[in-house]
Amino acid sequence: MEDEKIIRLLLERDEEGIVQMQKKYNKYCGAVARRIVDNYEDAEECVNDTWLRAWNSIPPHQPENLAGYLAKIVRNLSISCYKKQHRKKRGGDNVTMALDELSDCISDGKRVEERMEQRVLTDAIAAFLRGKDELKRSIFIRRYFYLEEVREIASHFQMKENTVKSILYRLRKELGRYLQKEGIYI
Amino acid sequence: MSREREKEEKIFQAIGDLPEDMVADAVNYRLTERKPRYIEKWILAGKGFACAACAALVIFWAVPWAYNNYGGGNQTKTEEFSAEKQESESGSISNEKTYDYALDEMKTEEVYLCSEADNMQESMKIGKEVDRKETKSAKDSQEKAVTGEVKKLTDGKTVRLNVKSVPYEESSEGNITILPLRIGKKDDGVTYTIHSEALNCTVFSVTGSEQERKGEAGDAECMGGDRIELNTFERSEPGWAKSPVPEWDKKKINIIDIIDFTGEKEGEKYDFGRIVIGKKGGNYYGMYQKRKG
Repeated sequence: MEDEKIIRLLLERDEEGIVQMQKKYNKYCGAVARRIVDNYEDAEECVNDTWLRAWNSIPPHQPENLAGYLAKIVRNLSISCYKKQHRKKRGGDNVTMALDELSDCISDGKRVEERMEQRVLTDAIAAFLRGKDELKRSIFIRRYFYLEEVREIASHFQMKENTVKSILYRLRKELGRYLQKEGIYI
Repeated sequence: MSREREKEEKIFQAIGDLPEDMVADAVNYRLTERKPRYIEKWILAGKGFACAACAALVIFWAVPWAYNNYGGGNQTKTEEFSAEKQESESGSISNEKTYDYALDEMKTEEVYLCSEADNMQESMKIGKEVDRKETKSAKDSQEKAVTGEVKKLTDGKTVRLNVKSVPYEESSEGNITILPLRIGKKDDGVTYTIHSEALNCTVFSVTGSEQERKGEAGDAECMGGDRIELNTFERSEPGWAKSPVPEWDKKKINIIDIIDFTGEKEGEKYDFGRIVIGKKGGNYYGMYQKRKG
């Protein structure tokens, strides 16, 4: 089913929208989640939470690109899951665990300024990437958004790993300079 | 969390908030067909050339070879090949059970026996004849002649016998097939006696130390090193109480006669054994069976 139809179903609160969304994007979201979290069950949980979050956020939100929208949701959920896992691994005591659990019921705690800063930074990175050719942009996003390994990227684009590494290195340096030029100091 | 870590987190989160279309496009982006580099062009050309060479080899060599050997292109070769294969699979054939005719007071010795090759002149003549006859039918041509190298007959081994086509006025076709054999070695001092049991492969001629003799005898005498020729009239269909070569039943070689060889030297009598002669298609096969003492 086409994305527009799925979004329309979701906007109409038709559960068929979730079914179709799962059918179309289950593998895609699963792949994103599995790159971030360590185990399969957690990745599955992240993917299931993604459907729920999409269901709850559409409407009011009306994504222009459903694949990108879902990718962002599953990425954020997976990163949260990853952080929780690693806190536990570092030997989280009872207090840390309890605080972690309680963090679910408070907002993300970011101040308006912080949110604005984040927005400005995102826009700057987006503008920087739009100025690059499609190949470099894809390599950057695949590495830092989808967290693909250099080896995978090299294989996908039929390049040597060192070539990919050097492209990424140059992009990072250029991004640093770009942000400074735009007056964004982190 | 350290200051550095915090910065990294911020950028990481900012990347996570990149526009949806940009994120989706990055996954969907595929490289357009890459232009092959110079060396890659040569590699591709090499691969193409190798494939073409292999294909040519298969078409111009392997296919005709397979046709000739297995596909009926050369039936003689095919039969020879399959007979030899079967022989090699069955190995040396023990004739302990099959060869039990009465022992006299004879010594048992092994005799030198071979299927003679025709001389060059005869071969050429027969070859021409075969060429002519080939157009008639494959079977006829096989019956005419196959000449080749001298094949020694050893105990228990199946050998495809050389044949020779000779003119014969009593034959309806004008030619008969004979089996040239050489018995014993020159000056071994033995007088050999040949005996055809079924009278299908009687002695057609004896050539050697004494004057050439021709005839149709069930029994004949000769000296060591003489060449004897057996005809292949097949007057009767012999029935054997016990198959002299059970292995041939599997190969569907029809046993047409058994030729016994005895001999005498300085008053002592020898029993050298026998040759079982079989026929399959247009080919003749022989197996020497030494008398077990």
